Amino acid sequence: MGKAQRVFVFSVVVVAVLAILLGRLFFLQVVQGYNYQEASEENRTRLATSPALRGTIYDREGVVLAKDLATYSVKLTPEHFDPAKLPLLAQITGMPVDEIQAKLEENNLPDWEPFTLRTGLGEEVVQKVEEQRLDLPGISVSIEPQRSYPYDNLFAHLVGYTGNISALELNRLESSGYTGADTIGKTGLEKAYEDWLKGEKGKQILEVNAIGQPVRVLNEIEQIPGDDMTLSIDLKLQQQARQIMVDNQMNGSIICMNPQTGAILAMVSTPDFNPNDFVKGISQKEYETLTASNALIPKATQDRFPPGSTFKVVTTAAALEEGVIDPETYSVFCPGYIDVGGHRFYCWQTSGHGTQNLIDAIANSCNVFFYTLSLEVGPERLAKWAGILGLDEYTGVDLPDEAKGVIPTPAWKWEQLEEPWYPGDTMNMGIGQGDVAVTPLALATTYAAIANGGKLLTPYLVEEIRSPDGTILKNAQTTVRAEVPFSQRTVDILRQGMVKATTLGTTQQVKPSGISVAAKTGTALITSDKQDIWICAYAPVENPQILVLVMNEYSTLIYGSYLAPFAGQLLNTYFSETPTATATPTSTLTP
Amino acid sequence: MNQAQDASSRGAFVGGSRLTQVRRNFNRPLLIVVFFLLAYGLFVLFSATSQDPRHSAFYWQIAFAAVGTGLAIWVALIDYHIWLKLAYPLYFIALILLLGVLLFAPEVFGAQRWLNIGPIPIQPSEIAKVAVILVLAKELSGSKERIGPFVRFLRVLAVIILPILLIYEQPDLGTSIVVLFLFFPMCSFAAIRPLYTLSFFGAILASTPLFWHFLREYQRNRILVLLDPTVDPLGIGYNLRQALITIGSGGFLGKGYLQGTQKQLQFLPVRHTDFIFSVLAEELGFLGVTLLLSLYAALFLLVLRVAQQAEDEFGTLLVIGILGMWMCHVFINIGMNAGIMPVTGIWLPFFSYGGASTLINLISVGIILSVSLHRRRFMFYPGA
Repeated sequence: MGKAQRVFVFSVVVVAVLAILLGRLFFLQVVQGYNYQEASEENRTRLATSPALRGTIYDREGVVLAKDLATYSVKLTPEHFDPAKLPLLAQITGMPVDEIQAKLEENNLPDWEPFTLRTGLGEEVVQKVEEQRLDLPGISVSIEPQRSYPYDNLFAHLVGYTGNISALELNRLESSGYTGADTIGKTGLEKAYEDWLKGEKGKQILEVNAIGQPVRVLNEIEQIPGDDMTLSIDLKLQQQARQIMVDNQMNGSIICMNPQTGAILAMVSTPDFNPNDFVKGISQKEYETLTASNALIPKATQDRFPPGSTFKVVTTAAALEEGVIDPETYSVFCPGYIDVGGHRFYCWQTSGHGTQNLIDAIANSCNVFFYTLSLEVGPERLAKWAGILGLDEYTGVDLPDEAKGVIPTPAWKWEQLEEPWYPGDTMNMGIGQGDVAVTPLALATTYAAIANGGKLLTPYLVEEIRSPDGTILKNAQTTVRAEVPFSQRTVDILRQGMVKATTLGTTQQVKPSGISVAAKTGTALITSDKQDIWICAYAPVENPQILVLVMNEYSTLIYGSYLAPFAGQLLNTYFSETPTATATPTSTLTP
Repeated sequence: MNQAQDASSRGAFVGGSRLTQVRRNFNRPLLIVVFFLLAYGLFVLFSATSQDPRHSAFYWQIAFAAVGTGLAIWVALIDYHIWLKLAYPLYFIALILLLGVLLFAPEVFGAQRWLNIGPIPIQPSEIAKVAVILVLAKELSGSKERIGPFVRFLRVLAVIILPILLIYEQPDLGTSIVVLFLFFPMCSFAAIRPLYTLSFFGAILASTPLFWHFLREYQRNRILVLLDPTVDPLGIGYNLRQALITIGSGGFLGKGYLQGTQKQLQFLPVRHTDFIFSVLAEELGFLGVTLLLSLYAALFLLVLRVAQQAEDEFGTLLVIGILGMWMCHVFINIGMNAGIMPVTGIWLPFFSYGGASTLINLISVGIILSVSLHRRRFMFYPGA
């Protein structure tokens, strides 16, 4: 075929393609046009969605920690709203006029779509709106689920809270069926388990009148509630843990965990906040106050602190496993200080500990001993064992935005600060100070690995997930992140040192009667009179069932051993607890 | 056919200065039809954006059209053989950008199509479409090279496969189909045995059931719903029904400019871009639609004339490739508005709102004008 013929064939194709389209349009617009015009006239239908009930969250005994309540919301359709009615609307909803105007401006839904002006209103608002219905075009009231947290601050960081979807989240999630009117889990378990908790929205085709108000439902798909979750949390321990922190005005964190399974029994961070405030909507000023006091940060998982002497178990494990010392013969004389490179480094007990073997040094937490030992082990091997014991990685807990620890090495220091590594850095590292920083939860898993003989576990909060009809969808399983390759001898020495620690001084108060406890304390100086202090204890030593970690940041208490009574109280509660005990909510929340 | 790859044989115009050449050969009818299309598109866009009191999309589109027209005239004055040199560089830039989209771009409506370079969002799939046309035209017209016809066919296949896969991954099924369908008209105008082209076409048709498995669920639903609107009566089925009511209720004369009643319904999220045709059909009716399709017919036939008169095979293939792209877009876009094609994000040339598409389309017009301009035929000298 010549070019001219090909062009001719192509012209025929062009005309044919356009003719097919024109034919189709002729059929739609001219042949069937009348039917479609009628359909358009009658087209007073609108597709609406109704929110699904979010899944309920329970503690291990079935006590409700988070639940959706039915509340009333006032909605506004900008297309039909008369701005002259702003004062009347303000009076009914109890919102200032400028706040309503601000909400109108923020609204990112189309004009014909009703958006939520205020949620969480009582039933009386229905009556008020009904009375003024003719004066308030574009205003409607609907029943809406509202998240409620009956224990207020108690689970602020752990369960988290829900809120209106943000523009950023919407951008990311629009393809999964979210719309600008949706509620979404913002933090904590509410965020981590969003896909399970959210349920499926209901859909209705509504018939609407001339000003867009729904008249009746033509077709409907019911909402499917989200899945329910049971946590491993022990409400009584959780309450006691928070009480300890609040009563003693301590900022920090408490974690109680089963060291055999990784199940978290209690986890609090202070200061905290009331998640119900976020559900109702929090003012910029309140938000700033909370941010300024760091109340929004879950210290247990999203912040890191120098571990102080609790890190000495790492130094010990590194020294033994790398064959640096023979524990039978190795000892160090502690006069209360040590001179290295022209500097004098003091022990916390400036009068000195005398001659210390390894077990005594762990029990006494003798700094001079561990200064000497860490110089023999060296920073690389210390960092290696910190890594093996899980301190520089994520624990994989089922909570969002987890942080991980920092374990310095000479290479790290050069990269970060362009400064050489000094022997003093090694000594600081060996006692968990300097640049060493870990999350409380990661340190708890390290101690759990010592307690259970070498299993580095993934901690978890959710024990079971059930569909609304009660089918079990998911059961928690103990996940071993890694087997710590240390010998039984190392484990025994660490345990002996930690058991001996509980016979000395203040640390004795960690022991509930009749039960053997292993414990290690830690103190990391922050300023001349403020320190981050720790205690990590587990019991019974022979068959560990519970591990308690208490951390108080920026404390005026001088030593970690001052935390021993608090850890002791929690252990007492755990071992004396009757399984049926349930407490009443600290407040009852009514919409 | 004339293979004018030799620079000395080009450029030497008999019968007058370059200005005379421009004056005599400039394809004014083509440019005028494009102007009418742009003006018509703006007219409808104003109504489609009536929800926005500032009509910001409308004014942006005026700016895009103005800048694009300037670019078109600039490109028209450059000898189109420059694209022989630029084809592969542009092609590889397009590939890199497409990879960049997959790796770095933010997701919008569940798909990643834009890449922000500085403050300017660019859509690499648009660049890729034109780059593929340039490379195919270069490869298919290079008859001086001593390679067998089958090897040549495999080479052009290789050229289109990579961008198709990358665009499909975004996911942007519509655009990857457009790139695939550029291939057939271009091959049919080149020295490729029809047997190869036809068997490739056959192979694609035969493997359609296989592709079904690679489609994402929403893509399958969009196809299923055409066959059976009850598949998802509260989801896409509702949208399809409303789209048909919108177009059908326009009737013969339409409801009148700015008088559309369907727009308050929420089912068309992209009324000023992919669904602008439904606004036209509702407000200006079958008459308005016929006017638009007539303008497209005029444009396409004028473009075909340029293809026929082109000085060499490269020029012909460039023009045919661009024409193929526009035809695919018109068919898929109007087809999805009218419920005979599945819904994909495909613009209507010179009509849909969009910076990238408007600029690329006008640059394409410039290339066609350049092919029309840089030829010796129709020069008034003896023996021509």
